[in-house]
Amino acid sequence: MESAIAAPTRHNEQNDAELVELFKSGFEEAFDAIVVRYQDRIYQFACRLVGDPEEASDVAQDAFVRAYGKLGGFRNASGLYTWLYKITLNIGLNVLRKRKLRTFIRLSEPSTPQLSISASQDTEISQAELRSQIEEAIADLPPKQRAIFILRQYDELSHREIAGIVGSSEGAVRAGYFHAVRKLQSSLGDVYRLERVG
Amino acid sequence: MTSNGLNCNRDALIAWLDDSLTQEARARLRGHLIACDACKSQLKSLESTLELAQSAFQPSAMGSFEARAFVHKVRGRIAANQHGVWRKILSPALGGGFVSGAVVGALALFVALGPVADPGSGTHLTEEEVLASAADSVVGNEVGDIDTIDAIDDYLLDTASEQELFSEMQSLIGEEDLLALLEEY
Repeated sequence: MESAIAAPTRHNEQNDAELVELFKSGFEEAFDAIVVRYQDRIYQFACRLVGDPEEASDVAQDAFVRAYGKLGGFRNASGLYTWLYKITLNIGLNVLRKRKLRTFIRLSEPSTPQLSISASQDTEISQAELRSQIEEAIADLPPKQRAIFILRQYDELSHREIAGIVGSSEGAVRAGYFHAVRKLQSSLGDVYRLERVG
Repeated sequence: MTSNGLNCNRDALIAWLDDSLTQEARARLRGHLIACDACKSQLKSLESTLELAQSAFQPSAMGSFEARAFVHKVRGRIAANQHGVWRKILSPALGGGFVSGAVVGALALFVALGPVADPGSGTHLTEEEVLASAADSVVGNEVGDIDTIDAIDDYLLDTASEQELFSEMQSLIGEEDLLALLEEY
């Protein structure tokens, strides 16, 4: 996917390896060009991973901040974007861990009774509801499986690239993806029925 | 269930949609699908699952303003990080050999870079003033080996909570300045 704006400097013609080398030789602008090139992809990945757009923006910013600190020692320049994904994944997984902890703490506190709101079963499902059901179904996947599904389905990375990012074998990535699709299919079963009636 | 000598296999259908089957396996599955209604229907259901997921879970891309702002935010956080980390390293409140070593090193650098107080005046700066000035000098002169900074950064990120960092900065530069700094970034 193209970035919303063009790279701000003459560096937009250079490939990743050249930008990394420029950065290592002291051209700070090269880092900005890397951010501009990948910010949209990284932000969207973070968004799908953690769900909340504001939190996703923080995750994406953190990823670039961390990348800045490590870029000087980065050697595999041709794999720059998969490395950025890897950093984003680690930060995103931490956010999910913290969220899980917060939910756990909240659940441990005595809760106040709430009114239950039940959706009418015979109304046609709206786009917003459909979107939220799908997001929920994807959010229900275990974090690593979710990452594999997102990277394959939306970012269209190869199994090999994903394996490098999540730190698993290609076979494990393939199995994780299949498992995620099977789970989604069963979670979304009700949605299909409503869709077909609609 | 078998058809045309092939077992029905949902994962093979997912692999078909994922385009990760070999040509030979794809040809075999195509033959199986002609004869197996259950697999045909399963394939359609899987296809719908993926189409729904694809169309509905599309976060909006950044606008040009957001995209420009993003680079600035990243830059601001890098600067704030370096600034905050050095202030924290130089704080006596943290204790611990590693941090103390960093404090001593930074102080030595500060001494090498400029006098702490006017020797003729007979006045001495407070410990906090020295530490704050040292932090400024170190950051301002970009002194420090990047690997060491990374190591210290990792150490601090692993050991200090956000609240600890906030209190630390607050005690060093005061609440008003801290809020202004946060506002800026």
